[in-house]
Amino acid sequence: MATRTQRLTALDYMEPTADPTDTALALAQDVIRHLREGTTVDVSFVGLRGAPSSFFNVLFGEVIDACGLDALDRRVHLEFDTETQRRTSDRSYEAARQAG
Amino acid sequence: MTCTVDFNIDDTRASLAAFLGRARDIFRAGDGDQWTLDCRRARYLGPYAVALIASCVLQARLQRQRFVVYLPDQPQPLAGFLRFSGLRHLLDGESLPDPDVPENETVPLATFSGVEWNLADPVVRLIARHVELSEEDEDRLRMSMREVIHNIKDHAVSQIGGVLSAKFFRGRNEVRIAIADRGLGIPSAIRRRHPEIRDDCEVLRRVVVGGLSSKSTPRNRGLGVSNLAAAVRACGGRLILVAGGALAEVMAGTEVPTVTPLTSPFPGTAAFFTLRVGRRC
Repeated sequence: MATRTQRLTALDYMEPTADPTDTALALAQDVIRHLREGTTVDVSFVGLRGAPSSFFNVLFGEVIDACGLDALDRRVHLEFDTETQRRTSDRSYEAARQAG
Repeated sequence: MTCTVDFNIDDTRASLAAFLGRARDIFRAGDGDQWTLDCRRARYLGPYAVALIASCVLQARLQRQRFVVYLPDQPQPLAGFLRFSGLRHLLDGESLPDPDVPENETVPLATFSGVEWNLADPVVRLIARHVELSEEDEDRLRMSMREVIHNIKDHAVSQIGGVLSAKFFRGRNEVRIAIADRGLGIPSAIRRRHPEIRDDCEVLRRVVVGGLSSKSTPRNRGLGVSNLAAAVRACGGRLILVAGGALAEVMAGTEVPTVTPLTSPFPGTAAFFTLRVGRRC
């Protein structure tokens, strides 16, 4: 049976006056919901500018706590449009992996 | 007490360290104390100096200190910069010039206590008037500012929040940004979790390298400053970080920060960084 894939766009969760960690929490909640439903989740960060390490720390931390590292590794795919995003995300991802 | 700055604070490590030493009595001033800062003989004060002086002013008001700050009114470019920087507005209530005049390269002083996504907008907007900002440039600029801003919110315990000063140098395609707080300072914040690291220089070195966290928030991984350092290196820029009794400098092309002790500790944390951006419009 083919696994369904849900696409989420981080920019859709971003409000200019919001705290980025609140944005990450809202995004994480939807990632977790879809993972629990058995889907794969594609998360696009295209167009999201200035996401700091705390944003990715919260996003990855919430997903790992709720669904486990294996789900994050295998069923969440990330799309970036700048090297800055990718590098910031990778470092937070690696730190989250090492933390357990 | 009177502190006299009779040299240029030209956004270099040496001049910043010299200013921090000269102003040590101001940093140590307590509730109700009186001080004077006389910069009239300086012939250059940049965004780094503006942020530091503004942090002194805001802290002084909080502590009901009586103070006077004298700024130079020559040469004309410096006088103009000081008006557009917002420092004269902060000190005297002088009206702020319109920052959107085409030739202006200076972002007015901003104070903040939150971490909203749009805090970097004035800086991005100003630079974008002068050069074409790529998506990478914009992302790097916003992320760099945000890492410092988040550190203030998460760790600093700064009653004045943070102070931001920035200037774009058109001839160099370079933006210089200074963000300062008057909180715990990185070494003290880190020692809440790692009391065994006694040396402020060692704390700063490890924070710049990355992975040392005060865990002020549960998800904190100690990556913010090292992300900023990586961004600076990636675009040929420079970072100077002052906190407590240490100063760290990161230059493009170097992996290891240069960390030196300060003769007088700074009561807070200040990040001064340059990023190269864009192509000319």
